[in-house]
Amino acid sequence: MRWLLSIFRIRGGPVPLRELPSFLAKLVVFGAVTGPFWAAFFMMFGYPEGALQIFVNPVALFWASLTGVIFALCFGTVCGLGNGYLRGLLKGYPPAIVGTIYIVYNAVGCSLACMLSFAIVMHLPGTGVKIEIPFLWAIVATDGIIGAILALIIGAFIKLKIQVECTQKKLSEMAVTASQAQARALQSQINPHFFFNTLNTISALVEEDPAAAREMVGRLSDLFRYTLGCTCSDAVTLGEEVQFVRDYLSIESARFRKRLRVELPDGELPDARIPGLVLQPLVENAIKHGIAPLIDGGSVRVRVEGAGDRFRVSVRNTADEHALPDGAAMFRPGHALDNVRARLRIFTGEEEPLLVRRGTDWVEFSFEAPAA
Amino acid sequence: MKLRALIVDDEDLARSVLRRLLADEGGVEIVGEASNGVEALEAIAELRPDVVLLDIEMPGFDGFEVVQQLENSPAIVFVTAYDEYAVRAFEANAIDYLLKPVRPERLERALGRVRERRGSPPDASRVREIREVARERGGPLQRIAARRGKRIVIVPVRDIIRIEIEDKLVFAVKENDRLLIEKTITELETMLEPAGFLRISRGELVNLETVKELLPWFSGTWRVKLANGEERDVSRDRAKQLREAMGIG
Repeated sequence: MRWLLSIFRIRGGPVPLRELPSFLAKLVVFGAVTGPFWAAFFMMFGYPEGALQIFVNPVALFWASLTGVIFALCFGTVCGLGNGYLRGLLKGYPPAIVGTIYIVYNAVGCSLACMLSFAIVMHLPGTGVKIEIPFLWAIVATDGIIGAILALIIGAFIKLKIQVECTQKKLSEMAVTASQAQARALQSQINPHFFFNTLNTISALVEEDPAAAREMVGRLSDLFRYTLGCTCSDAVTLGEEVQFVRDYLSIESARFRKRLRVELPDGELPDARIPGLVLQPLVENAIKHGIAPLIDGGSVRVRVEGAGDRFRVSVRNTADEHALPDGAAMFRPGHALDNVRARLRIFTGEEEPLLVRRGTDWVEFSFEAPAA
Repeated sequence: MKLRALIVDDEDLARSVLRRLLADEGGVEIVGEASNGVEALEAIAELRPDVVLLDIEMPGFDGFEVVQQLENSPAIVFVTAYDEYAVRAFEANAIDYLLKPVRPERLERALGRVRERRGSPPDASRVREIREVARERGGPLQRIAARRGKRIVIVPVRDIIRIEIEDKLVFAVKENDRLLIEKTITELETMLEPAGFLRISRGELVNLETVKELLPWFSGTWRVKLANGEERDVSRDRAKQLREAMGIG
């Protein structure tokens, strides 16, 4: 098939000069082999008894092959070379127009090549090819139709192939985006700043309150285990994610003390799954950009509200009214929020899954997901 | 003589670690503690410590903003949990810093260096260097400390229209407010120049953002029209700089 495509030049551009000899050689071989079959095919309609002769009589076979070669050369020059240039010329036009032009061009080209090759063969000295004119027209017309059908088949084949390639490319691109987002999520979850500050807190507690130090080491371990175990491609239960946030906030509370007031959902949580590690970055963001810059601190409120078959998770924090960030700054590429949004997009299929609301002194992030 | 140290960190527990380590160290007297940038500025002005253990991430003003507002700066030892860029800058400029959790031997080494330099006259280029690093890391000063009665308040720099002197006191003029700033106009000029302020006369700085018009006045002087409608005189020797800064040089 690839060989055939290279002859018709529907694929690839114009024939490069140094490939011209091999291109012509291919045409000669193609013509010599297929010539007798074409001749036999057409003779079936006029001289059925002569059709068989082609394969028995060496002279008849020679002339049939020669006709085939000349036809192939004519067709290859007109259509093959032409298709190569046509491709570059038609770039950017709608596929329907390109297809129509290809079909018409190849049909006309095939008929012309047919007439030309017969004209040449019939006037060769000692020619063995004799065709009555009305029958010649029938052959020319048939050739035109065959040319059009060939263009149609090859065109459809190429289109299909392009579509398959596109789909594959798109799929693999999506997979890369998803896995990158997940990898980044994994890397960024235990923020080094948070980690070292927690170790510092623990080192203070070791002497002051050994029991609290032990408790905090346990919580930090749980956090690590969760992020290590969470492959992120799997959704986790809402309960697991909330527990993770609970541990995270209890460590931050020990650091911020009175400056951080926390409100977490109590009671039954909807039995649902969400992508792992989407809630904690929202809470971390709330502390880093909301609470930390405030001298008197503020509150972080995590809520889960169910409404029928959907539920809504929100994280609201106090924020400095003079320093509320704008949307673009919040979703800097590579930033945790951008990552959360990307993964929620994959999970929910919504374009804007992460909703941002703000008041005079608060900011709230929320997303919705289906309950199980 | 004992080193007089000030501990600045917003976390109680982080301060208690340093307190403990400094007590073990000996030869150090803790003169005070501050839990945010505003308190830090107040404590430094009031207590005049020899050395400040200065946390970088803090509410109010962060460590870099504090340093940019210090005039007669005591020795500074920055303390951070994780800031690789800052650490690189500290290394490059031989600025003392400690990483959390703080290790006793690192603290000892940093204090050793502070002691060595003590007694020698304060090295102006060193202070400038620290301030330079602080500015690179923190960007131009976004907020400065001003005084309202006894309280220190934080003023966003972009809200300040101009700085003026009246009866030898320096004031920041805002849209509907005027706040006392305990700095000289020259100190403020250095501090606020990167934030887009320019001296227009001996006693005045303007925020270039608020300049609406520039009008020629008498004998080579100019006037600026500000966003709040005020018109201020520009001295002859400052006019050229102002025109250049406004891009109409």
